[in-house]
Amino acid sequence: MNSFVRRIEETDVTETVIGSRPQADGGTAQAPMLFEAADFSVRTGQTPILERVTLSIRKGEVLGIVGESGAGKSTLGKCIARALPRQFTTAGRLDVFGEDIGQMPASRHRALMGDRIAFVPQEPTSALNPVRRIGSLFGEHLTRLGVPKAEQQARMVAALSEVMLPDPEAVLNRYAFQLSGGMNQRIMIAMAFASRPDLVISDEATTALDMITQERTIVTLNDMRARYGCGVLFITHDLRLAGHFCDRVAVLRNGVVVEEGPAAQVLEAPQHPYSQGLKAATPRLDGPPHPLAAPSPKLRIPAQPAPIMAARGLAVRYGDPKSAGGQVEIMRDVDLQVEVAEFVGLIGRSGSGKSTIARILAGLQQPTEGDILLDGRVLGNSASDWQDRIASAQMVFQDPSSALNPRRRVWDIVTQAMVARGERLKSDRRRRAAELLADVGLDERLLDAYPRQMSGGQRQRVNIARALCVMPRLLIADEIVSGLDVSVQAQVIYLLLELRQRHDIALLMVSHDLSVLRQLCDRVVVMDQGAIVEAGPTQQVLDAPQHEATRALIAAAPPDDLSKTWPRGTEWDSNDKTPE
Amino acid sequence: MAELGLIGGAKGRAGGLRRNGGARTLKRLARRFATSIVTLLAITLLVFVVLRTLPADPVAMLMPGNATEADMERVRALLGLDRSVLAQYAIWLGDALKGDFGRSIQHNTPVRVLIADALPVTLQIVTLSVGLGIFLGFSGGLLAFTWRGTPVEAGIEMGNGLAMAVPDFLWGIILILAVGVGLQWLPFIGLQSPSVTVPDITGFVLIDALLAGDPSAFLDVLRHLALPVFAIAMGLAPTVMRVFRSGLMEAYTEDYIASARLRGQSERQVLLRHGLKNAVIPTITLIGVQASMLFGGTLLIETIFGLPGIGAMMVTAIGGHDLPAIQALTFCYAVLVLATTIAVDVICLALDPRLRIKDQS
Repeated sequence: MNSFVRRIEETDVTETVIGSRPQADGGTAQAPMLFEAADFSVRTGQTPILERVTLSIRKGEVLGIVGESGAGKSTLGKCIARALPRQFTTAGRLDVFGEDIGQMPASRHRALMGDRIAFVPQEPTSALNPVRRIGSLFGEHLTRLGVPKAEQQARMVAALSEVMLPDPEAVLNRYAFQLSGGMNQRIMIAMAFASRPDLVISDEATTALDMITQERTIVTLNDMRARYGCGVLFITHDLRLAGHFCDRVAVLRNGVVVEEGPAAQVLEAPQHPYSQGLKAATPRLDGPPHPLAAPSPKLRIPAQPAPIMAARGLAVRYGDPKSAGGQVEIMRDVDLQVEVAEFVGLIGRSGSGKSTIARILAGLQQPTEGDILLDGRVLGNSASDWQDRIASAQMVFQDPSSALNPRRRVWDIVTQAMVARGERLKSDRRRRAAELLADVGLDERLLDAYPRQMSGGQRQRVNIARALCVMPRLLIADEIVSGLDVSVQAQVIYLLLELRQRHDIALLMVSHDLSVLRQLCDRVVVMDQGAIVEAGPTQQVLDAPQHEATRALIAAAPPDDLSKTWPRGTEWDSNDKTPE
Repeated sequence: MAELGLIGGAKGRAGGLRRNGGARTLKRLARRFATSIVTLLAITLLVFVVLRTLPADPVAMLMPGNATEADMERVRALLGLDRSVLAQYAIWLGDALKGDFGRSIQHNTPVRVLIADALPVTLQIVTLSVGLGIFLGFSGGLLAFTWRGTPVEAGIEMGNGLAMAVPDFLWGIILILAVGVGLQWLPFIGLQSPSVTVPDITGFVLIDALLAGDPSAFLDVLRHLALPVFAIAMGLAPTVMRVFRSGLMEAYTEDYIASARLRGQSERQVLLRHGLKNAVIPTITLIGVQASMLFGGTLLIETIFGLPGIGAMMVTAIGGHDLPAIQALTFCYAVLVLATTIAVDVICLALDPRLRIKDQS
């Protein structure tokens, strides 16, 4: 309460640079440090969200965080708000005003929130309570800041005038749903600045706004920033916007800061191949259209190949060994591993045990013998091991029509995993859903659609998007393209390759379609009667098969060359098994 | 209240907007009222027609056993029972609008008088039950919500599931057996002890006892009402609790809750200022939906507890083929249910500005 009064006096005295932007170089170098992350990491289970991030903001400085969906941009803001879901763990330091955010008591943290640290949200209209008037919400905030009731009306009118809202008195008497998104965002900015905060965190604050409103909002933000000299953490996916508004920009990819520096330098002459790729993928407003390119495919090769998930000595047997019929052996001695960003194809005839392996890796079935390793560690039956497992490996099911709940909308379906780990906030879920739809190449308008309103290809994309929600490192896919038209199949293949390029995702794909595997996989593993009979690079295995079973599979496929005789008229062989 | 101050300070466009909102609200309420009248007429007509098709002849019940066929015809003509059903309904409706519901066949007293005696008893029970039901439901929901994810919530949930499985009349019987017969803590027959007399001022015994300045009588009536009220409340509370709790859960996924936290409000403030009101709205709507069930519950509860309300009166009227009484009581119940739903509507309009004011964006 007193801090509010103190800082008003402070700003009255120090308020010298109205309208001018403090320069990133020179001027702020000596300014006090507001925010500092040092080797700061966030993980959920084994999955890294942020990896050893080191960033800082000084007074009067705007730091932009840019990156693609799922890069971990919003996580920093969430850490400052201490609003991370339960399963997330942090390491390293995250300081505000020289104090470790994670260590301070809850009351101390709450005292900072909305006072010295202010937030500007992505969706202003839903951030304002719909059953209370703007004046009531703003007044409540002022009461918390220690402004006497009698002064509140005047202060609110002044604050709303400051953000260029016409007719502030009338606005105070409205509800959020009566106002436009742009007006509500200016209200949020006015409220955020009411306490003269030292640090403002803006998470995609203009994403939901149209271009003109976005410009006005940025003008407002910039003006307020210059007037009160606060630092801003500006999270956005819009590189151009970041370039114009920020002093410094950090490019985030898969939780790692790949490049950081003065905005002009990072965005005009990026050094890191990924930032270069981002720049190349951004369409220009002027000049001739340039070919848009996604970040370089070379990036998919990780520094050192490491297995994500491995199976060791798997065996599956049914029945009681002591009973008369004895045991039926489904699988024996299976060793298999999938490395980071590796696409592995699993082929074999029906009943060879390939689906069983997929189910065992996904944790849907227990092997009779053998271990599953995640990052080199044997997975047990504990709940935390299960959390690690589902955060790392996700299964995409064969039939999207039956795998998607027909009563739920797309945004709800694809973000169910967030609910499971405690991220219930609707706008977060919708935002993640929009990112996921973009990831799988679906229009954002499908967010509110039901599965039955979509085509088979769209449904399969939703199915994949759902598996991607937790940013898994491994997708386990059982015949996910076999039911699709060739054109849709091609789209899904392309999508999977794109996802690998963007997120270093690995894939274990069960399929009987050799041409799809040839197109998609680095390595194929051939199974026959519950055992691996051959494995190797795709080309090698399919062109020069060593094992009889592989040769039989290849020979049974209708050849590309129509002049060849097919089918060859082979007889059913004796060891046919019924599919499991 | 800051809000009130602001309304007072409203000028210009906002004032105009508020008036528009008011007009919209009035229109909505007027429409609601009009449809209720139509519903009411439809219900009375339906019941009238159904009662006339029953194999019960009111004239035969009125006349002594040795009456001749000619006598019967004469009385029938006298009562207008020889005319068409619609014509009879028109007569009934005309009289009903004048407050004349005919004479009870069983008691040979004007139905109006009987209802005037019985209605306050029922209203008393229902008001207290709804109050208690809401109180129990809200506190249970709030408790389960604040302790979410703990054994406390699991315990409340289990109790709620049990309570939900027991209908209100069964609660009545359980309470009579346990508290009334077993423990003998509370009386369970009638409205008051035979020794206690309360002057008839308003007809509401509790209020009359207070007006007469007789606290012991007030307490006596309260003790008599405790069990039936609790039984009906227990029919309402579990549902209220469930909807209120899910309303809170739903509200807590909204951005304004996160936003309030980001402004540094404590969990308690977030709940009281942002969560509660948004969660109460669906709960109040539910209570409106449950109104008919609630009033219907009085039929059995009043019979079980021997309370002279309109529920018990309805049961005896049905048993005695007392057509005028049945007809009037149906009308009475319909009015009560419709009035409750309108009242709920008004409360929702007051709580939720989105219903009052058209979306401007």
